[in-house]
Amino acid sequence: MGTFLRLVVVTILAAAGCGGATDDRPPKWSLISATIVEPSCATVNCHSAITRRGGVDLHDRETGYYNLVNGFYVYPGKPGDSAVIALMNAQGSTRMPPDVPMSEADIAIIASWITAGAPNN
Amino acid sequence: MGRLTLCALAAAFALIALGGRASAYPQFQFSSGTTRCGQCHYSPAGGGLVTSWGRDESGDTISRGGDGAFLHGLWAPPAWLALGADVRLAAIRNDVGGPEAPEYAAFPMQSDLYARLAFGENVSLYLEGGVRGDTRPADPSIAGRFGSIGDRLMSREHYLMWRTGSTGAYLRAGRFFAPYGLRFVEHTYYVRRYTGYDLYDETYTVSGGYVGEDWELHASLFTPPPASFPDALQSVGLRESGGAVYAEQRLAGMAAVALQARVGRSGEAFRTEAGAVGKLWLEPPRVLLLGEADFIRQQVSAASFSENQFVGFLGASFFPVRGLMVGFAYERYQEDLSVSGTARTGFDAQVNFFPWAHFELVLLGQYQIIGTGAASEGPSASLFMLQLHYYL
Repeated sequence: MGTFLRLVVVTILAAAGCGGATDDRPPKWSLISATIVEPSCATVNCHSAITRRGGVDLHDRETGYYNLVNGFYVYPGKPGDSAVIALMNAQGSTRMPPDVPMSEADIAIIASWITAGAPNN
Repeated sequence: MGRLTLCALAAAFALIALGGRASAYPQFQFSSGTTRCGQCHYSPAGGGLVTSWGRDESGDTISRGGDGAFLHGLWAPPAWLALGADVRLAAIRNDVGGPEAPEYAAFPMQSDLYARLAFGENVSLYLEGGVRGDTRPADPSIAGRFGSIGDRLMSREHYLMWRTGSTGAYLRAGRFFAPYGLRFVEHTYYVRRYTGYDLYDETYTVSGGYVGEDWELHASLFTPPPASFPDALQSVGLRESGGAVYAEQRLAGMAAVALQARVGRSGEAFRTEAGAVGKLWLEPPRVLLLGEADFIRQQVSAASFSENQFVGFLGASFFPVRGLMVGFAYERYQEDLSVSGTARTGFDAQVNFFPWAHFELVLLGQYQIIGTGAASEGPSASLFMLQLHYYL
Protein backbone atom coordinates (compact mmCIF):
# COMPACT_ATOMS: atom_id res chain seq x y z
CA MET A 1 0.00 0.00 0.00
CA GLY A 2 2.87 2.35 0.81
CA THR A 3 4.41 1.79 -2.62
CA PHE A 4 1.05 2.38 -4.28
CA LEU A 5 0.55 5.64 -2.39
CA ARG A 6 4.04 6.82 -3.32
CA LEU A 7 3.29 6.03 -6.97
CA VAL A 8 0.04 8.01 -6.80
CA VAL A 9 1.82 10.99 -5.20
CA VAL A 10 4.60 10.90 -7.81
CA THR A 11 2.02 10.70 -10.60
CA ILE A 12 0.09 13.69 -9.27
CA LEU A 13 3.30 15.69 -8.92
CA ALA A 14 4.38 14.77 -12.43
CA ALA A 15 0.97 15.66 -13.86
CA ALA A 16 0.94 18.99 -12.08
CA GLY A 17 4.53 19.84 -12.91
CA CYS A 18 7.85 19.23 -11.26
CA GLY A 19 11.55 19.58 -11.82
CA GLY A 20 13.98 22.37 -11.20
CA ALA A 21 15.10 25.37 -13.19
CA THR A 22 18.62 23.96 -13.63
CA ASP A 23 19.24 21.95 -16.77
CA ASP A 24 22.02 19.40 -16.25
CA ARG A 25 21.50 17.59 -19.53
CA PRO A 26 24.79 17.33 -21.45
CA PRO A 27 24.71 19.36 -24.71
CA LYS A 28 25.61 16.38 -26.88
CA TRP A 29 24.19 15.73 -30.32
CA SER A 30 23.44 12.08 -29.51
CA LEU A 31 21.12 13.19 -26.71
CA ILE A 32 19.65 16.13 -28.61
CA SER A 33 18.89 14.02 -31.66
CA ALA A 34 17.30 11.12 -29.77
CA THR A 35 15.28 13.05 -27.19
CA ILE A 36 14.44 16.39 -28.85
CA VAL A 37 14.92 16.49 -32.61
CA GLU A 38 13.62 13.08 -33.69
CA PRO A 39 10.37 13.13 -31.63
CA SER A 40 9.62 16.76 -32.52
CA CYS A 41 10.82 17.07 -36.10
CA ALA A 42 11.06 13.66 -37.79
CA THR A 43 7.31 13.13 -37.98
CA VAL A 44 5.84 11.48 -41.04
CA ASN A 45 4.96 14.58 -43.04
CA CYS A 46 7.93 16.70 -42.00
CA HIS A 47 11.56 15.67 -41.64
CA SER A 48 11.12 11.89 -41.72
CA ALA A 49 13.09 9.73 -44.13
CA ILE A 50 9.92 9.43 -46.20
CA THR A 51 9.07 13.11 -46.66
CA ARG A 52 12.35 15.02 -46.13
CA ARG A 53 10.52 18.37 -46.21
CA GLY A 54 12.84 21.17 -47.24
CA GLY A 55 15.31 18.47 -48.26
CA VAL A 56 16.05 17.85 -44.59
CA ASP A 57 15.95 14.35 -43.12
CA LEU A 58 16.31 14.23 -39.33
CA HIS A 59 15.19 10.67 -38.69
CA ASP A 60 18.37 9.47 -37.02
CA ARG A 61 21.53 10.80 -35.42
CA GLU A 62 23.94 10.49 -38.37
CA THR A 63 21.52 11.63 -41.08
CA GLY A 64 20.28 14.54 -38.99
CA TYR A 65 23.78 15.71 -38.18
CA TYR A 66 24.82 15.56 -41.84
CA ASN A 67 21.76 17.50 -43.01
CA LEU A 68 21.92 20.21 -40.36
CA VAL A 69 25.65 20.89 -40.55
CA ASN A 70 26.25 20.36 -44.27
CA GLY A 71 22.97 22.08 -45.11
CA PHE A 72 24.22 25.16 -43.27
CA TYR A 73 21.36 25.12 -40.76
CA VAL A 74 24.03 24.91 -38.08
CA TYR A 75 27.18 27.06 -38.04
CA PRO A 76 29.51 25.47 -35.48
CA GLY A 77 30.38 27.93 -32.75
CA LYS A 78 27.80 30.49 -33.91
CA PRO A 79 24.29 29.85 -32.59
CA GLY A 80 23.26 33.39 -33.48
CA ASP A 81 24.04 32.72 -37.14
CA SER A 82 22.51 29.26 -37.21
CA ALA A 83 19.23 29.06 -39.07
CA VAL A 84 18.01 26.19 -36.90
CA ILE A 85 17.90 28.50 -33.86
CA ALA A 86 16.13 31.25 -35.82
CA LEU A 87 13.57 28.76 -37.13
CA MET A 88 12.78 27.42 -33.65
CA ASN A 89 12.34 31.01 -32.42
CA ALA A 90 10.16 32.00 -35.41
CA GLN A 91 12.57 34.79 -36.31
CA GLY A 92 11.66 35.89 -39.81
CA SER A 93 9.85 32.72 -40.81
CA THR A 94 7.36 30.08 -39.80
CA ARG A 95 8.14 28.58 -36.42
CA MET A 96 9.63 25.11 -36.39
CA PRO A 97 8.10 22.76 -35.47
CA PRO A 98 4.88 24.25 -36.83
CA ASP A 99 2.60 22.30 -34.49
CA VAL A 100 4.29 22.07 -31.08
CA PRO A 101 6.82 24.83 -30.32
CA MET A 102 10.16 23.89 -28.78
CA SER A 103 10.66 24.85 -25.16
CA GLU A 104 13.26 27.46 -24.34
CA ALA A 105 15.14 24.77 -22.40
CA ASP A 106 15.44 22.64 -25.53
CA ILE A 107 16.46 25.58 -27.71
CA ALA A 108 19.06 26.52 -25.09
CA ILE A 109 20.65 23.07 -25.04
CA ILE A 110 20.84 23.06 -28.86
CA ALA A 111 22.44 26.52 -28.74
CA SER A 112 24.95 25.26 -26.16
CA TRP A 113 25.85 22.35 -28.43
CA ILE A 114 26.39 24.74 -31.36
CA THR A 115 28.47 27.06 -29.16
CA ALA A 116 30.65 24.08 -28.27
CA GLY A 117 31.43 23.58 -31.96
CA ALA A 118 28.48 21.32 -32.87
CA PRO A 119 30.45 18.07 -32.66
CA ASN A 120 28.84 14.77 -33.59
CA ASN A 121 29.25 13.52 -30.04
CA MET B 1 -29.54 10.47 -58.11
CA GLY B 2 -30.27 7.21 -56.29
CA ARG B 3 -28.83 6.05 -53.00
CA LEU B 4 -26.75 3.42 -54.76
CA THR B 5 -25.15 6.06 -56.97
CA LEU B 6 -24.42 8.21 -53.94
CA CYS B 7 -22.81 5.27 -52.18
CA ALA B 8 -20.76 4.42 -55.27
CA LEU B 9 -19.57 8.02 -55.47
CA ALA B 10 -18.65 7.93 -51.79
CA ALA B 11 -16.68 4.72 -52.35
CA ALA B 12 -14.89 6.22 -55.32
CA PHE B 13 -14.08 9.31 -53.29
CA ALA B 14 -12.64 7.10 -50.57
CA LEU B 15 -10.32 5.58 -53.14
CA ILE B 16 -8.89 8.88 -54.30
CA ALA B 17 -8.84 11.02 -51.16
CA LEU B 18 -5.92 11.20 -48.78
CA GLY B 19 -5.08 10.25 -45.24
CA GLY B 20 -4.33 7.43 -42.89
CA ARG B 21 -4.80 6.57 -39.23
CA ALA B 22 -6.52 3.95 -37.16
CA SER B 23 -10.05 4.77 -36.12
CA ALA B 24 -10.63 3.99 -32.51
CA TYR B 25 -12.96 5.67 -30.05
CA PRO B 26 -12.11 4.51 -26.54
CA GLN B 27 -14.83 6.90 -25.36
CA PHE B 28 -17.43 4.39 -26.55
CA GLN B 29 -16.37 1.68 -24.13
CA PHE B 30 -19.10 1.44 -21.47
CA SER B 31 -20.87 4.60 -22.72
CA SER B 32 -22.37 2.76 -25.71
CA GLY B 33 -23.34 -0.27 -23.66
CA THR B 34 -20.47 -2.39 -24.92
CA THR B 35 -17.69 -3.29 -22.55
CA ARG B 36 -15.00 -4.69 -24.85
CA CYS B 37 -13.30 -2.89 -27.75
CA GLY B 38 -13.23 -6.21 -29.61
CA GLN B 39 -17.04 -6.32 -29.70
CA CYS B 40 -17.19 -3.51 -32.25
CA HIS B 41 -13.83 -4.05 -33.99
CA TYR B 42 -12.29 -7.11 -35.64
CA SER B 43 -9.04 -6.28 -33.88
CA PRO B 44 -9.14 -7.86 -30.41
CA ALA B 45 -7.68 -4.64 -28.98
CA GLY B 46 -9.95 -2.30 -30.93
CA GLY B 47 -9.42 0.12 -33.81
CA GLY B 48 -9.87 -0.28 -37.54
CA LEU B 49 -12.66 -2.08 -39.38
CA VAL B 50 -15.84 -2.51 -37.36
CA THR B 51 -17.81 -5.72 -37.01
CA SER B 52 -21.47 -6.16 -37.87
CA TRP B 53 -22.17 -5.62 -34.16
CA GLY B 54 -20.24 -2.35 -34.28
CA ARG B 55 -22.10 -1.27 -37.41
CA ASP B 56 -25.42 -1.95 -35.71
CA GLU B 57 -24.27 0.04 -32.68
CA SER B 58 -23.24 2.97 -34.86
CA GLY B 59 -26.75 3.21 -36.30
CA ASP B 60 -28.81 2.25 -33.29
CA THR B 61 -26.87 3.74 -30.37
CA ILE B 62 -24.14 6.16 -31.37
CA SER B 63 -25.64 8.09 -34.30
CA ARG B 64 -29.02 9.79 -34.37
CA GLY B 65 -30.30 7.30 -36.93
CA GLY B 66 -29.58 5.50 -40.15
CA ASP B 67 -28.21 2.11 -41.11
CA GLY B 68 -24.60 1.56 -40.08
CA ALA B 69 -24.18 -1.48 -42.33
CA PHE B 70 -21.72 -1.52 -45.24
CA LEU B 71 -23.03 0.61 -48.12
CA HIS B 72 -25.82 1.75 -45.80
CA GLY B 73 -27.31 -1.74 -46.05
CA LEU B 74 -27.78 -1.65 -49.81
CA TRP B 75 -25.55 -4.68 -50.33
CA ALA B 76 -24.13 -7.13 -47.86
CA PRO B 77 -20.82 -8.82 -48.62
CA PRO B 78 -20.61 -12.58 -48.11
CA ALA B 79 -19.95 -13.79 -44.58
CA TRP B 80 -16.27 -14.47 -45.29
CA LEU B 81 -15.67 -10.88 -46.41
CA ALA B 82 -15.87 -7.58 -44.56
CA LEU B 83 -15.17 -4.28 -46.28
CA GLY B 84 -14.97 -0.69 -45.18
CA ALA B 85 -13.47 2.73 -45.76
CA ASP B 86 -12.72 5.91 -43.84
CA VAL B 87 -12.51 9.41 -45.28
CA ARG B 88 -11.71 12.52 -43.27
CA LEU B 89 -11.52 16.09 -44.52
CA ALA B 90 -10.12 18.74 -42.20
CA ALA B 91 -9.75 22.49 -41.91
CA ILE B 92 -7.46 24.00 -39.28
CA ARG B 93 -6.40 27.25 -37.72
CA ASN B 94 -2.98 26.74 -36.19
CA ASP B 95 -1.14 29.42 -34.20
CA VAL B 96 2.33 28.80 -32.80
CA GLY B 97 3.42 32.44 -33.03
CA GLY B 98 5.82 34.00 -35.49
CA PRO B 99 5.41 36.30 -38.50
CA GLU B 100 3.29 33.87 -40.54
CA ALA B 101 0.91 32.83 -37.78
CA PRO B 102 -1.87 31.94 -37.67
CA GLU B 103 -1.85 29.31 -40.37
CA TYR B 104 -5.07 28.29 -42.11
CA ALA B 105 -5.28 25.07 -44.09
CA ALA B 106 -7.89 22.73 -45.50
CA PHE B 107 -6.80 19.29 -46.56
CA PRO B 108 -7.84 15.69 -47.00
CA MET B 109 -6.67 13.99 -43.82
CA GLN B 110 -7.49 10.35 -44.29
CA SER B 111 -8.61 7.80 -46.80
CA ASP B 112 -8.30 4.18 -45.85
CA LEU B 113 -9.80 1.07 -47.38
CA TYR B 114 -10.21 -2.07 -45.31
CA ALA B 115 -10.81 -5.70 -46.14
CA ARG B 116 -11.01 -8.69 -43.86
CA LEU B 117 -11.09 -12.15 -45.34
CA ALA B 118 -12.12 -15.04 -43.11
CA PHE B 119 -10.80 -18.52 -43.77
CA GLY B 120 -13.06 -20.78 -41.77
CA GLU B 121 -14.12 -20.03 -38.22
CA ASN B 122 -10.82 -19.01 -36.69
CA VAL B 123 -8.38 -17.63 -39.26
CA SER B 124 -8.59 -14.24 -40.97
CA LEU B 125 -6.48 -11.89 -43.06
CA TYR B 126 -6.80 -8.15 -42.44
CA LEU B 127 -5.65 -5.64 -45.06
CA GLU B 128 -5.65 -1.86 -44.87
CA GLY B 129 -4.38 0.56 -47.46
CA GLY B 130 -4.70 4.26 -47.97
CA VAL B 131 -3.15 7.46 -49.13
CA ARG B 132 -1.11 9.51 -46.70
CA GLY B 133 -2.65 12.89 -45.89
CA ASP B 134 -0.67 16.10 -45.56
CA THR B 135 -1.51 19.44 -43.96
CA ARG B 136 0.82 21.26 -46.38
CA PRO B 137 0.77 19.35 -49.69
CA ALA B 138 1.58 22.46 -51.75
CA ASP B 139 4.97 22.98 -50.08
CA PRO B 140 7.42 23.50 -52.98
CA SER B 141 10.15 21.71 -51.07
CA ILE B 142 8.38 18.38 -51.63
CA ALA B 143 7.18 19.18 -55.14
CA GLY B 144 7.83 16.42 -57.64
CA ARG B 145 8.19 13.72 -55.03
CA PHE B 146 4.56 13.49 -53.92
CA GLY B 147 2.79 14.69 -57.02
CA SER B 148 0.58 11.65 -57.46
CA ILE B 149 -1.54 9.52 -55.20
CA GLY B 150 0.79 6.60 -55.90
CA ASP B 151 3.62 8.50 -54.19
CA ARG B 152 1.57 8.62 -50.99
CA LEU B 153 0.23 5.09 -50.79
CA MET B 154 0.68 3.50 -47.37
CA SER B 155 -0.44 0.36 -45.63
CA ARG B 156 -0.35 0.83 -41.89
CA GLU B 157 -2.04 -2.44 -41.00
CA HIS B 158 -2.00 -5.91 -42.52
CA TYR B 159 -2.00 -9.04 -40.46
CA LEU B 160 -2.99 -12.66 -40.22
CA MET B 161 -4.96 -13.68 -37.12
CA TRP B 162 -6.07 -16.84 -35.41
CA ARG B 163 -8.86 -16.31 -32.92
CA THR B 164 -11.15 -18.71 -31.13
CA GLY B 165 -14.10 -16.28 -31.09
CA SER B 166 -15.13 -12.83 -29.90
CA THR B 167 -13.78 -13.93 -26.53
CA GLY B 168 -10.96 -16.35 -25.90
CA ALA B 169 -7.37 -16.68 -27.05
CA TYR B 170 -5.92 -15.10 -30.16
CA LEU B 171 -2.64 -14.80 -32.01
CA ARG B 172 -1.92 -12.34 -34.79
CA ALA B 173 1.15 -11.41 -36.79
CA GLY B 174 1.76 -8.61 -39.22
CA ARG B 175 1.81 -4.85 -39.15
CA PHE B 176 -0.16 -3.09 -36.40
CA PHE B 177 0.41 -1.25 -33.14
CA ALA B 178 1.13 -3.42 -30.12
CA PRO B 179 -1.85 -2.92 -27.77
CA TYR B 180 -0.95 -0.21 -25.26
CA GLY B 181 -2.66 2.81 -23.73
CA LEU B 182 -5.76 4.74 -24.70
CA ARG B 183 -5.97 4.19 -28.43
CA PHE B 184 -7.44 7.56 -29.41
CA VAL B 185 -8.09 8.42 -33.02
CA GLU B 186 -6.42 11.79 -32.35
CA HIS B 187 -2.75 11.11 -32.98
CA THR B 188 -1.79 14.54 -31.67
CA TYR B 189 -2.62 13.59 -28.09
CA TYR B 190 0.56 13.37 -26.02
CA VAL B 191 -0.21 9.83 -24.85
CA ARG B 192 0.00 8.73 -28.48
CA ARG B 193 2.67 11.06 -29.79
CA TYR B 194 5.27 10.51 -27.07
CA THR B 195 4.80 6.82 -26.27
CA GLY B 196 5.65 5.44 -29.71
CA TYR B 197 2.13 5.55 -31.18
CA ASP B 198 2.27 8.60 -33.43
CA LEU B 199 1.04 8.66 -37.02
CA TYR B 200 2.61 5.87 -39.14
CA ASP B 201 4.67 4.52 -36.25
CA GLU B 202 3.09 1.06 -36.72
CA THR B 203 5.53 -1.80 -36.28
CA TYR B 204 5.66 -5.39 -37.46
CA THR B 205 4.27 -7.19 -34.48
CA VAL B 206 3.47 -10.62 -33.14
CA SER B 207 0.77 -10.34 -30.51
CA GLY B 208 -1.07 -12.91 -28.49
CA GLY B 209 -3.45 -12.82 -25.62
CA TYR B 210 -6.81 -13.62 -24.15
CA VAL B 211 -10.00 -11.57 -24.16
CA GLY B 212 -12.52 -12.51 -21.49
CA GLU B 213 -15.83 -10.98 -20.51
CA ASP B 214 -14.29 -9.01 -17.66
CA TRP B 215 -10.60 -8.92 -18.45
CA GLU B 216 -8.10 -9.09 -21.26
CA LEU B 217 -4.38 -9.52 -21.66
CA HIS B 218 -2.24 -8.67 -24.68
CA ALA B 219 1.49 -9.43 -25.01
CA SER B 220 3.45 -8.33 -28.05
CA LEU B 221 6.86 -8.36 -29.64
CA PHE B 222 7.56 -5.76 -32.31
CA THR B 223 10.20 -4.47 -34.69
CA PRO B 224 10.19 -1.67 -37.28
CA PRO B 225 9.90 -2.43 -41.00
CA PRO B 226 13.28 -3.31 -42.49
CA ALA B 227 15.04 -0.42 -44.23
CA SER B 228 14.77 -2.33 -47.51
CA PHE B 229 10.97 -2.10 -47.48
CA PRO B 230 9.38 0.49 -49.82
CA ASP B 231 8.03 3.77 -48.44
CA ALA B 232 4.48 2.40 -48.60
CA LEU B 233 5.39 -0.10 -45.90
CA GLN B 234 7.80 2.06 -43.91
CA SER B 235 7.31 3.52 -40.45
CA VAL B 236 8.58 6.69 -38.84
CA GLY B 237 9.06 7.73 -35.22
CA LEU B 238 10.99 5.70 -32.69
CA ARG B 239 11.65 2.66 -34.92
CA GLU B 240 12.27 0.48 -31.89
CA SER B 241 12.35 -3.26 -31.42
CA GLY B 242 10.93 -4.55 -28.18
CA GLY B 243 7.89 -5.81 -26.37
CA ALA B 244 4.70 -4.57 -24.73
CA VAL B 245 2.16 -5.94 -22.28
CA TYR B 246 -1.33 -4.57 -21.63
CA ALA B 247 -3.68 -6.08 -19.03
CA GLU B 248 -7.19 -4.72 -18.43
CA GLN B 249 -9.70 -5.62 -15.73
CA ARG B 250 -13.28 -4.45 -16.15
CA LEU B 251 -15.46 -3.84 -13.13
CA ALA B 252 -19.24 -4.15 -13.00
CA GLY B 253 -19.61 -3.16 -16.65
CA MET B 254 -18.87 0.46 -15.83
CA ALA B 255 -15.15 0.76 -15.14
CA ALA B 256 -11.81 -0.54 -16.31
CA VAL B 257 -8.32 -0.47 -14.87
CA ALA B 258 -5.32 -1.44 -16.95
CA LEU B 259 -1.63 -1.80 -16.28
CA GLN B 260 0.88 -1.67 -19.08
CA ALA B 261 4.58 -1.83 -19.79
CA ARG B 262 6.69 -1.42 -22.92
CA VAL B 263 10.40 -1.69 -23.64
CA GLY B 264 12.03 -0.67 -26.89
CA ARG B 265 15.54 -0.39 -28.22
CA SER B 266 16.52 1.65 -31.25
CA GLY B 267 19.98 2.30 -32.61
CA GLU B 268 20.27 5.33 -30.34
CA ALA B 269 18.24 4.82 -27.17
CA PHE B 270 16.69 2.27 -24.85
CA ARG B 271 13.27 3.16 -23.50
CA THR B 272 11.30 1.58 -20.70
CA GLU B 273 7.68 2.64 -20.25
CA ALA B 274 5.25 1.68 -17.53
CA GLY B 275 1.85 3.09 -16.85
CA ALA B 276 -1.81 2.69 -16.11
CA VAL B 277 -5.11 3.38 -17.83
CA GLY B 278 -8.45 3.95 -16.14
CA LYS B 279 -12.05 4.46 -17.28
CA LEU B 280 -15.16 5.11 -15.22
CA TRP B 281 -18.68 5.41 -16.63
CA LEU B 282 -21.12 7.45 -14.56
CA GLU B 283 -24.60 6.62 -15.81
CA PRO B 284 -26.80 9.39 -14.34
CA PRO B 285 -24.70 12.26 -15.68
CA ARG B 286 -23.74 10.14 -18.74
CA VAL B 287 -20.06 10.99 -18.34
CA LEU B 288 -17.08 8.77 -19.06
CA LEU B 289 -13.88 9.64 -17.21
CA LEU B 290 -10.67 8.50 -18.93
CA GLY B 291 -7.10 8.67 -17.73
CA GLU B 292 -3.64 7.43 -18.62
CA ALA B 293 -0.29 8.00 -16.95
CA ASP B 294 3.04 6.69 -18.20
CA PHE B 295 6.55 7.01 -16.84
CA ILE B 296 9.34 6.61 -19.37
CA ARG B 297 13.00 5.97 -18.66
CA GLN B 298 15.09 6.87 -21.69
CA GLN B 299 18.75 5.92 -21.82
CA VAL B 300 21.05 7.34 -24.49
CA SER B 301 24.26 5.38 -24.16
CA ALA B 302 26.27 7.53 -26.60
CA ALA B 303 25.62 10.53 -24.35
CA SER B 304 26.08 8.51 -21.15
CA PHE B 305 22.82 10.02 -19.95
CA SER B 306 19.40 8.85 -18.85
CA GLU B 307 16.28 10.88 -18.27
CA ASN B 308 12.86 10.24 -16.82
CA GLN B 309 9.78 11.39 -18.68
CA PHE B 310 6.08 11.61 -17.92
CA VAL B 311 3.10 11.48 -20.26
CA GLY B 312 -0.42 11.86 -18.95
CA PHE B 313 -4.02 12.32 -20.04
CA LEU B 314 -7.09 13.06 -17.97
CA GLY B 315 -10.39 13.63 -19.68
CA ALA B 316 -14.15 13.48 -19.46
CA SER B 317 -16.56 12.72 -22.27
CA PHE B 318 -20.21 13.74 -21.86
CA PHE B 319 -23.05 12.21 -23.89
CA PRO B 320 -25.99 14.61 -23.33
CA VAL B 321 -28.18 13.22 -26.12
CA ARG B 322 -27.85 10.41 -28.63
CA GLY B 323 -25.47 11.43 -31.43
CA LEU B 324 -23.50 13.98 -29.45
CA MET B 325 -20.25 13.59 -27.51
CA VAL B 326 -18.58 16.53 -25.77
CA GLY B 327 -15.13 16.03 -24.30
CA PHE B 328 -12.61 17.96 -22.25
CA ALA B 329 -9.08 16.86 -21.46
CA TYR B 330 -5.92 17.85 -19.67
CA GLU B 331 -2.66 16.59 -21.14
CA ARG B 332 0.86 16.67 -19.77
CA TYR B 333 4.20 15.71 -21.25
CA GLN B 334 7.48 16.35 -19.53
CA GLU B 335 10.50 15.52 -21.61
CA ASP B 336 12.83 15.45 -18.59
CA LEU B 337 11.28 15.37 -15.13
CA SER B 338 14.33 17.07 -13.62
CA VAL B 339 13.93 20.19 -15.82
CA SER B 340 10.66 22.07 -15.33
CA GLY B 341 11.10 24.03 -18.55
CA THR B 342 10.77 20.89 -20.67
CA ALA B 343 7.08 20.45 -19.81
CA ARG B 344 4.18 20.76 -22.21
CA THR B 345 0.61 21.13 -21.02
CA GLY B 346 -2.40 20.77 -23.24
CA PHE B 347 -6.05 21.69 -22.70
CA ASP B 348 -8.48 20.15 -25.15
CA ALA B 349 -12.15 20.61 -25.93
CA GLN B 350 -13.90 18.49 -28.51
CA VAL B 351 -17.39 18.05 -29.89
CA ASN B 352 -18.26 14.98 -31.97
CA PHE B 353 -21.65 15.02 -33.68
CA PHE B 354 -23.02 11.87 -35.34
CA PRO B 355 -26.10 13.10 -37.22
CA TRP B 356 -26.61 9.89 -39.21
CA ALA B 357 -24.88 6.56 -39.38
CA HIS B 358 -21.63 6.81 -41.41
CA PHE B 359 -21.28 10.56 -40.84
CA GLU B 360 -19.39 12.47 -38.17
CA LEU B 361 -18.60 16.14 -37.62
CA VAL B 362 -15.73 16.98 -35.26
CA LEU B 363 -14.82 20.31 -33.71
CA LEU B 364 -11.58 20.30 -31.78
CA GLY B 365 -9.70 22.98 -29.91
CA GLN B 366 -6.35 22.59 -28.22
CA TYR B 367 -4.32 25.12 -26.24
CA GLN B 368 -0.75 24.27 -25.30
CA ILE B 369 1.51 25.85 -22.73
CA ILE B 370 5.23 25.31 -23.09
CA GLY B 371 7.31 25.03 -19.91
CA THR B 372 5.71 26.24 -16.71
CA GLY B 373 3.80 28.93 -18.56
CA ALA B 374 6.33 31.73 -18.07
CA ALA B 375 6.87 33.71 -21.26
CA SER B 376 10.62 33.13 -20.90
CA GLU B 377 10.16 29.36 -21.27
CA GLY B 378 8.46 29.34 -24.64
CA PRO B 379 5.36 30.40 -26.56
CA SER B 380 1.87 29.03 -26.23
CA ALA B 381 0.14 27.35 -29.15
CA SER B 382 -3.45 26.92 -30.22
CA LEU B 383 -5.18 24.70 -32.73
CA PHE B 384 -8.78 24.69 -33.95
CA MET B 385 -9.94 21.99 -36.29
CA LEU B 386 -13.16 21.20 -38.12
CA GLN B 387 -13.31 17.69 -39.47
CA LEU B 388 -15.80 15.83 -41.63
CA HIS B 389 -15.67 12.07 -41.34
CA TYR B 390 -17.44 9.54 -43.50
CA TYR B 391 -17.07 5.80 -43.21
CA LEU B 392 -18.44 3.29 -45.64
